[in-house]
Amino acid sequence: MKGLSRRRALLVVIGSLLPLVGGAAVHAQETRVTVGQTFIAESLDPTEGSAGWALTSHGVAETLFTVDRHGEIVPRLAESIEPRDDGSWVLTLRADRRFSDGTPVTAAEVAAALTRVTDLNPAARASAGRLHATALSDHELLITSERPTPVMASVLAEWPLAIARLTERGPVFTGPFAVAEFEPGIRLLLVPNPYFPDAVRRPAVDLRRIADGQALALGLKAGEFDLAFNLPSEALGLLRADPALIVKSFPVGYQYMMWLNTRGEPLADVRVRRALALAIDRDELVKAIRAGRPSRSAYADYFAFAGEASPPHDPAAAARLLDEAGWRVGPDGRRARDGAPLTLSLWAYPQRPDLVTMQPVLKAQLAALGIAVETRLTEEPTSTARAAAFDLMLWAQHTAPAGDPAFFLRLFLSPDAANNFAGIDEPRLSKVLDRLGEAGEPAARVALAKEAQAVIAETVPVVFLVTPEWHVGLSRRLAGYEPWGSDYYVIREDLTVTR
Amino acid sequence: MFRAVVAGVGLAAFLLAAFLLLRIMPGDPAELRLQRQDLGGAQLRVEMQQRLGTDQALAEQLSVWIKGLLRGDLGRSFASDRPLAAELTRRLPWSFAVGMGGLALGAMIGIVLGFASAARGGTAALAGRAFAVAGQILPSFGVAVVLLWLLAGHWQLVRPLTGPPAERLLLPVLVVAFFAVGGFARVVTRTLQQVEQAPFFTAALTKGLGRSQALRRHGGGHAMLAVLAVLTPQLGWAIGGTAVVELVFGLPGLSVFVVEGLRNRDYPLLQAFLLIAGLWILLARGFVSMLVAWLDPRPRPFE
Amino acid sequence: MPTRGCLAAFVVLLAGLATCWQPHDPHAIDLERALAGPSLLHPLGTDHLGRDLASRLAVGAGRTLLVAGTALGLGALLGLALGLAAPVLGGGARRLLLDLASLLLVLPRLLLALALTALFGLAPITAGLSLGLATTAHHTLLTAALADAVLREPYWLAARSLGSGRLACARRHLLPAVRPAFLTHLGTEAARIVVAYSELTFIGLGADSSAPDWGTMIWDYRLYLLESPRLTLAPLMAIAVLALALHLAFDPVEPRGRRPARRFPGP
Repeated sequence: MKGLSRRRALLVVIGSLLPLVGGAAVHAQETRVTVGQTFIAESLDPTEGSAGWALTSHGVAETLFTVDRHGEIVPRLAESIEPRDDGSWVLTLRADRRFSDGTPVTAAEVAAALTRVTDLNPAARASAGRLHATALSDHELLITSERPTPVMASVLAEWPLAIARLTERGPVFTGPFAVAEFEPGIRLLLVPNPYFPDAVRRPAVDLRRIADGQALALGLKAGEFDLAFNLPSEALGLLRADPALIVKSFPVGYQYMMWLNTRGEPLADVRVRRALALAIDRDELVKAIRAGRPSRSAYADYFAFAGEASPPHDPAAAARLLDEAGWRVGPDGRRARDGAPLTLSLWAYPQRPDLVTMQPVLKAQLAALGIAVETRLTEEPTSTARAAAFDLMLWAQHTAPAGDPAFFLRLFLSPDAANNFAGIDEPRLSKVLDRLGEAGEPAARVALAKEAQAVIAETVPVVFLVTPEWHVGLSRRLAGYEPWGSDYYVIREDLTVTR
Repeated sequence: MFRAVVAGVGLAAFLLAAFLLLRIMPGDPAELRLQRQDLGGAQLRVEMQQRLGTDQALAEQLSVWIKGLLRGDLGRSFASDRPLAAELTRRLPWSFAVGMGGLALGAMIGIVLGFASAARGGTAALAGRAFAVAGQILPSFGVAVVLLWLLAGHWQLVRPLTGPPAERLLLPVLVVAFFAVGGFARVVTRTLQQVEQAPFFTAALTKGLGRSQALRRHGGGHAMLAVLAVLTPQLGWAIGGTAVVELVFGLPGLSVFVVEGLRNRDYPLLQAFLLIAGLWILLARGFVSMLVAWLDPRPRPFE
Repeated sequence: MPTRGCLAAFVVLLAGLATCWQPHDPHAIDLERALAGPSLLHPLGTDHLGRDLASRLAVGAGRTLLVAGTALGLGALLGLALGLAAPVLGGGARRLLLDLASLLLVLPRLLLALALTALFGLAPITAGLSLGLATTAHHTLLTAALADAVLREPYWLAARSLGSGRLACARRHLLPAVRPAFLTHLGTEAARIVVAYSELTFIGLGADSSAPDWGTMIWDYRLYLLESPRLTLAPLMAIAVLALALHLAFDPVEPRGRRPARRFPGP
């Protein structure tokens, strides 16, 4: 019988290894909506990394200016801003705004916040360098920037410049929602900020991070979420068939593009680059990723400075250009010059699944012209692109996050930019960038942006492919929610429950 | 005591190797952190390297780490600057519950199935085989998604993504158990089949015991030993090996954290994880080998 | 054994042929025909980009075999050697070896793969090597456990007391005793390797992400698991056939009468 008792003992041991889990659900009294999305702030301090962007997106933080749903820069915490002759700016604040702890938003607080964030967060210095701000009165402050800018309103709309007030219990903000509980990168419980107008109309928001898009879609179907942000297009059929759910698709400010490495053969030859641009059938790409529309320019169509002409799809012209450049079709159907085959590497990264889906489509389109393509993936797209270890690189980028066209051009196409993936040094682009550094007039900036886009179309350091659409799934309780502004403004003051 | 010393030497060698392996991997943590913020440039990179301490010589980095450990300090994450000890303690229970819960459930079902299949064959034998084959060829993300779709999306029986902890753990534990059942069931069945051929078993039958009764009484100990042999290597991934399941069910566990840490080249995080996981596997193995010695006290020839 | 060996050789030959010839161009896109069901033209239907599923399966056979073969070969060789060495050495060396093997188990596969890629570059064979190394620890522990159980049989004490050397004992008696159960284990491990490869291919270990192998296909098609399960099932079935062939080749079913009276075999 000894063996039996030992066995029992062992079973007890194995049984006790079972996790002891408990914890009853706490059902809150107030109206609460549950939101699932793929990202949650990692920190509540806008001086750290991209926390400013995440907190703005969560409806917690606000900037002085913001970009509205039509792509226009509009005042938010600010009322107006005026340039002075010496290159500094006078900003007037709205008089009625308060932080979520009840203290009024004064010029002194804002000045301290701006100076602090540009001192500590390099991302906040990207456009105009360090900002130095001093309070002139309760509601007026004087702002000078390390590098002069003609568009201070746009700089102040950039996400790192979220206005925070430091308290003993951590930073507090001015947005429509305030943080009640916070697990970095995992969960955020928001309550209406009582000092934001119409606070009583807003529900509490339980924000959860679900990293996998398919799980997010199934969670929405299971009724676990009232709002599921950025659903994979593959799941839409399943969700649209469910009468309890509403799926809304909306165009975003991101662009899918393809960088061409101009540093070496064969892409140093502009004729080959133009041929590639002509060879691409954007309609087919849209069909493959099941959402979005063909890109017409560097910017999403809703921006005033977006180009309008549809780029042509003309394989015959592409073939002629390649012939001209000496890359002729051999007996095996492949193009070669002096015995060397025309082979290009095409990179994408799994963080943007749409780009990976587009890879084989592009490969097939270029194969039809006799160009051999090797598709490759990288986990670290920025490293790969900066190291110029590619021929063609697929890329997703918001090209005007602060409502200004200069952002993309300066970051990616000026000769000394860290992200000059294409390795291009085009004097005409540099000249446009110089003039964008001076022109403050909106109409003038639109004209300059279009000029830059014409130069890009001609010199082809980059080809714009698709303006994607994203998808938001809603329960009936949030039927009134209208998505816009990419992932920059997900939770907003107009988030209310439909009764 | 001797055992502990040997294990300690092994752990130290392992951690040292891991320390070097991490730094052989391509990718600079400073550069990656800057890239996540869309920043770049030599100046910023140097500043970030100084801040993270990766600009120092390897020996210096190692001594900083060891000194920290001696003070009981696991260091701070390269990715978020947060202290690792707190972050790991918060995440460890989730992964541990999923891994150990799944293994325990899998072992229980597997043992029952194994006994039934050895005693009666038929459906139980078929089920055991089916689990074993399915466990080998099905990818875990597929099983997880199908479970999520059926139990949550379709029938809406549980809330695995937003419910209370017990509800959130249910499906992940089921997935892990699904992959564990087959191995346990098969090993129990095979052991019992061999017991059946042993002389002492025939003797037991002649004493008038029924077949399944005799199996339970005389095969039990042997089956347990076999189960422990299968369990030991699997304990290794009870913490840190359940990333796919955690990802699909949105659990804030340790495993997904480690995968993210790999992506960010978060050296302190990975080192801390390997230290904890290493300690765990050595302790668990020690415990299992004590159990084995207790269940089967016969001597080994080369000891 | 010979007939089963022939079966495995046949499957390998088939895979080799499939790599060389496919009914359609496996890279040809036809978005008008995306996600079409099986037909005469496309016996397994098409995928989300309208590519012929059967052709992709065929062209992936060779790459898949290469990965599985490399990983199994390396893992088995190292695992068997270390696993037999441990109990034979005995004492502190045995403990240290087994402790190290268990510690290796907690090393995430991804970490090992990334480090190896850095050292050896990208190719299916690298993926195979890293998977092989990653599974070595498992093989070692299993072999050691099997050998341990055998070593407790009374005849070992007899063999040792007759004065046979450790090495001779291991080669002459231990290896043959451990081999059948170990080979069984290898057969089942093959399928696991291919499935595990599906994770690795996606982090950039596949040399060319659009050159399909069965692992990559499972991962690529996972989003269509609910919409068209056919896409995921096809490579899964292919893996199952491969696993079955290897399983049979490695001989798990022994005639009842010939089964040795071992008491504590592994899985």
